[in-house]
Amino acid sequence: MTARRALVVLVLPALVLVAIGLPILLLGDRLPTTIATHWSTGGPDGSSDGTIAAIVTVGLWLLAWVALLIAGRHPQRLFYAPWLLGLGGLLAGISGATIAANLDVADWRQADHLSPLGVLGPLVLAGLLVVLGERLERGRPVDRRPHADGPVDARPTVGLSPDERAVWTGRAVATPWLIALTGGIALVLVVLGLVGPGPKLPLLAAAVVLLAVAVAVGSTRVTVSERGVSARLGLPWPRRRIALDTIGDARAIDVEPLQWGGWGWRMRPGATALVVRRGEGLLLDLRDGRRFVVTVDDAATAAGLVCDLLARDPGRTPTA
Amino acid sequence: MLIRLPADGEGPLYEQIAGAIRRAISSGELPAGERLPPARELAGAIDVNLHTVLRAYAQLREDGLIDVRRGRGAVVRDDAPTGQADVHELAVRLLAEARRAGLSRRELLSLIERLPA
Repeated sequence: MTARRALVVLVLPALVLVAIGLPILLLGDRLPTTIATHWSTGGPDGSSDGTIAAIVTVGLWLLAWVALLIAGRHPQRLFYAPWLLGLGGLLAGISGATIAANLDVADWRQADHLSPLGVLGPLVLAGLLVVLGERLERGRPVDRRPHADGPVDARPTVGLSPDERAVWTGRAVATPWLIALTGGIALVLVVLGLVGPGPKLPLLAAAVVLLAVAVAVGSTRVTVSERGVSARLGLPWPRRRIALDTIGDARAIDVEPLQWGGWGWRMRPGATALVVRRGEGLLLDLRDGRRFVVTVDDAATAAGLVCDLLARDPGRTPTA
Repeated sequence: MLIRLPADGEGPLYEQIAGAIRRAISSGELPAGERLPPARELAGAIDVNLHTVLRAYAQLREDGLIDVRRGRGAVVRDDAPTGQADVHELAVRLLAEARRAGLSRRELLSLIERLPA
């Protein structure tokens, strides 16, 4: 196991466990038996048994940690790590805020109002952990340098005539388990947010974000025309538009998500890849040396159209 | 899906676009259930008026090849009469050919009528 992966699946989760567990251990006896676990504008309006809430919170994180360890065995699934770490940050923040509000009160109804810090803190903490996880994962040395496969002898073409107008639209659909897992986690968060202990808003907000992520990595949409290549994931934005005069060459390749660090909108030095599945994709070699890849069905036709459109411009030839 | 519009295309633009989509459907490139690109996107990509594309889509819907639903967009019907799509295409070309040969539409129709059953 590399040092980075150990950080992601062992060290950071352990730190989260400490962040959740330590306040419970150290300050638990200064809390009432029944603690306030839900707040509205007027103050605390919902309670739970303190011991049960602690067990649920720690248990949830242990489950997430197990998921991280399982994912760590398959590097291509490790891209979930930032999100699981973010969940941990959320739990730690919510737990900490709840304990702080209930500290040294005789009855849960006298607990402090939830401060803005108590609501924003968990979200910020979760966000920081997501970013940290992303950085650690992105910096992971890739086993093989991302490269294109396939024969380079025949330039792809669709036989476009000089005056013909043409447009190609295509898409790719993600592997089902990817959607199921992301959507499943989001669903769990929604359920927890509605019936679980603690402030509901951060959990529901996290669920909405995860659902958006699930839709985003669910598909790609690509259009090729005289206006250039336009590509996006499942959501309308962000969308990448690449003008024809910035493209040097195009071909269809076999995309292995592992080479690009996982699924989604992948950014590597000198290359960007929109990956939602393993399999065929469109590769664009840009004139400034960068590369753009997007998994899409019938990539050969897309590449052929790009090459024909490039060849049509007088005085230009596609770079070899 | 590849949509090609030859420069010397016959007939109004919307018919050419509809024809290109019809060809894609009958060739299997656009299978049943497949979604067509949004009219706005297609119009921008081939640089034609949005209404031209809308008219093409309306034509295809009249022919029973696609369904246009709010939110979903244009989808190829499961029971799309792809066979009829081929015939439609042939008819368009026949009409163009007849026009080149100097036949009026009425003359062409009576020619067809006189064909043995």
